[in-house]
Amino acid sequence: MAKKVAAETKGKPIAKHAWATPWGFLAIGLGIAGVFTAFPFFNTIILAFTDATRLRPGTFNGLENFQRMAEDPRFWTAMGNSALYMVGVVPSLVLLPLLLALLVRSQIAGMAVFRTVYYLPVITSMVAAAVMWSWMLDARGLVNQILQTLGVITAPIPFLTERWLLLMSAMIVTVWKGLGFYMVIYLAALTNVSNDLYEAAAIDGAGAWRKFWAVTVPGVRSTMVLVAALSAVSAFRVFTQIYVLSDNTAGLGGKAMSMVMLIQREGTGLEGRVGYASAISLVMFVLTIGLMIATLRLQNPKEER
Amino acid sequence: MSTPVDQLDLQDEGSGKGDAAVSPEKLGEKHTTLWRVVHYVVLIAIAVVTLFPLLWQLATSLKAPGLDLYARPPELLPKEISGAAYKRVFHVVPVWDYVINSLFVASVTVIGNLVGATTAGYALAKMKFRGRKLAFGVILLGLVEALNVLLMTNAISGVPNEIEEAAMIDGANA
Repeated sequence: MAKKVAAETKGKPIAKHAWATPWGFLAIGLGIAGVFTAFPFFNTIILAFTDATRLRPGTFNGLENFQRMAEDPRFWTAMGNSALYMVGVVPSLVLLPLLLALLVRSQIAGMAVFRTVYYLPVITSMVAAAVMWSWMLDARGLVNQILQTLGVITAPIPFLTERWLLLMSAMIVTVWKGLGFYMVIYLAALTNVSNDLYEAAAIDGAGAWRKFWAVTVPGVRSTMVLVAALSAVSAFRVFTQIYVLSDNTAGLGGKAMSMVMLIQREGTGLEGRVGYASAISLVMFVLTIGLMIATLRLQNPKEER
Repeated sequence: MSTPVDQLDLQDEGSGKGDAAVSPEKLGEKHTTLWRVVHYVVLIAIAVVTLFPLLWQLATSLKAPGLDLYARPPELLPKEISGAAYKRVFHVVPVWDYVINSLFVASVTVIGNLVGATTAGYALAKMKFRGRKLAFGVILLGLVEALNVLLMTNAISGVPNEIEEAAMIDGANA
């Protein structure tokens, strides 16, 4: 009986307290959320419609920032690079970790070691990892030296300066670092796929290939969509990899600049055009939200009840 | 971004020893010796790709100072192991100051979260007052990472509806 009474009062508010008491309790949480999230967020939206710079608060200038953006070739370059980067990274990060998860799933000797090894890049810092890769991919670096020694190439490949090669190098770093993270997500999802289905498929004479497409993929489809959404959003916001690999040059003539790099270039420094940078941020925010909604739509296809 | 990684890490430990590790027989596969060899070869090949950059960085850190990073031919292993780089880094860079900076940021974050989240949670759970919903909204804006929501959405969608229905029959509400 006593238990039941306790359960009934659970979640019910305490009757009497001074009006200020709850606000006192909330002060820290609200303060932090307000100062570091709500204020910057709304401030960015307001700034996007002004010509503010770092030194001048600026005045309202309507849609001028957005007009300038549409005519700014660097904006379109950055948009193209971020989009291309996403298109390159997402399929690899949706498929490769799934295959990896299937590979480390069976319980054979030493599997714990392999799982740990594959997870190691995840816990390294992105900056340290990118510095390391920049040594290897440098014009005089290990990769070029090996290729030259083997006689595959005569002149070093400009992995870190040429636009497309730089983007590709950044993609490689991203996939290398992301494999273990998504592998773990898939490992968890694979536990939801019933073994009976595999057995049934085996009885029906399905081979490994058939089982993969007919049992595994449908079983983890919602996780594949999730991984696509997560990796797409983080790929679209790529910054560190390109920044570190190119030593903040974004390749020859800044041609490999991503959206976030453009925001950082525009918005910082004494000359920083805060209003314009905010406008680009706002466009990116809307695109990212749209991207996420679009990807998650895939999760609820028509055939579902 | 560190939160989901940590959560998943725990999840992995849990599943690693439990249900995620399915014995090959259960998967209805016959495992010949050849299959095992191929499996291990693939696993080792991927491990090499994963580990090589990390090991190379470790080897580089142990090389004698003044050695060219881009020496020709490339020097994979240090000729002689030298701790000079480690000694020097403490002279050239105030490493301990940086460590203290990181520790300071970490401590403030943890203590701030403990105190702030506990008190705010108490007020929202146990008190009734005007503006409660607004306070909730502002806090949610800041503290809930979209990534975490997505992860939970995916995890909860794995809960069979039958369980929810059974819970409803037992008198549970949403």
